[in-house]
Amino acid sequence: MFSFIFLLMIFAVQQDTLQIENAWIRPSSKGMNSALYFDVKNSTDDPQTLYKVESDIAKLVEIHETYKKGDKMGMRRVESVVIKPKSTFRFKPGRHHVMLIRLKQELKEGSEYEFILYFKNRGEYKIKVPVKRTN
Amino acid sequence: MFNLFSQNSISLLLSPLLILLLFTGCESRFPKKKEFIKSYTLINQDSSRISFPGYFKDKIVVMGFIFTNCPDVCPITTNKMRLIQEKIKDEGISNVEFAALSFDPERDKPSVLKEYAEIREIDLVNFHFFTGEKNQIESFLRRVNVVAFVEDTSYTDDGEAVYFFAHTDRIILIDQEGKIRKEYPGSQVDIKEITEDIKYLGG
Repeated sequence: MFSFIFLLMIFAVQQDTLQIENAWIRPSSKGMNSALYFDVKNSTDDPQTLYKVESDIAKLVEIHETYKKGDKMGMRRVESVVIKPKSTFRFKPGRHHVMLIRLKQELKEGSEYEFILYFKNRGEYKIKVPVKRTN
Repeated sequence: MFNLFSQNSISLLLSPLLILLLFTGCESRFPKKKEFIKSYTLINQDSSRISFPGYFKDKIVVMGFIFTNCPDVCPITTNKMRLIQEKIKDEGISNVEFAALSFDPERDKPSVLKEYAEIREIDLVNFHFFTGEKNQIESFLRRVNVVAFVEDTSYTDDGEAVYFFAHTDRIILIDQEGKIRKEYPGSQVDIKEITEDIKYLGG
């Protein structure tokens, strides 16, 4: 009986969570720029809004999106990203990303850095992110 | 009597058809053939000046267009080129060179390009990063029909304007005679397709 209640509690928590998964950063040199990528899994019944990301590793940390127009690609800053209820939003190469501008240190593959993600009405989410060279 | 279906007559009938198919096949694989009508002076990651396209005579060249301050699209293009380089090496093809040309010569000095390559562990044996005088780069970009213009700018607390380009997302394939044979979307290039194209050119 206790196990059943416990499982129900886990299920209830999972129904109302925001999870940050598969986070990684590109390697880059000190003084240059990089990008942070991750998935936001919104298991709640409400839209969730990511409006700010903080980190000590860069002078500026901004949410950007990459867009395509014909055969050209460009980037533009966005104020926030809304993650729909019961859905996963992927910050991924060639799409939305968190831009790390003017890095204060070299980002070497294998190292990890802390970021704080701010969601409206949900507060702060601290994550540790590895530097990866992906294919 | 002429037997229309004898082996010899079928061969005679098919030969011109096969030749036609070979040529039309080549045309559909490589619809473009554009020459560089003059030479360009480019500067590589070791600060050496080279004359393009003469420097790569008799080589097939895979060329991409980047700027090193780009955090998203250009690293994807660079990584795609690295993957093509690995694939070509695995296939035992040795007459292919890789060139990443910066359209941001003001910031992308040779030392910056070298650091960009090193942090990405790129094998520089047949992979070159190029910058150059502004007029040379602009003239080169016009020839290959690549456009780059400053669009997005962010400002640091100490007042630096960090600008980003909107640009043509492209990789081009240049044959052994220095002619542009095909264009690909740089960050989304199909590695299998370009590898087959390189083989078709005699790589």
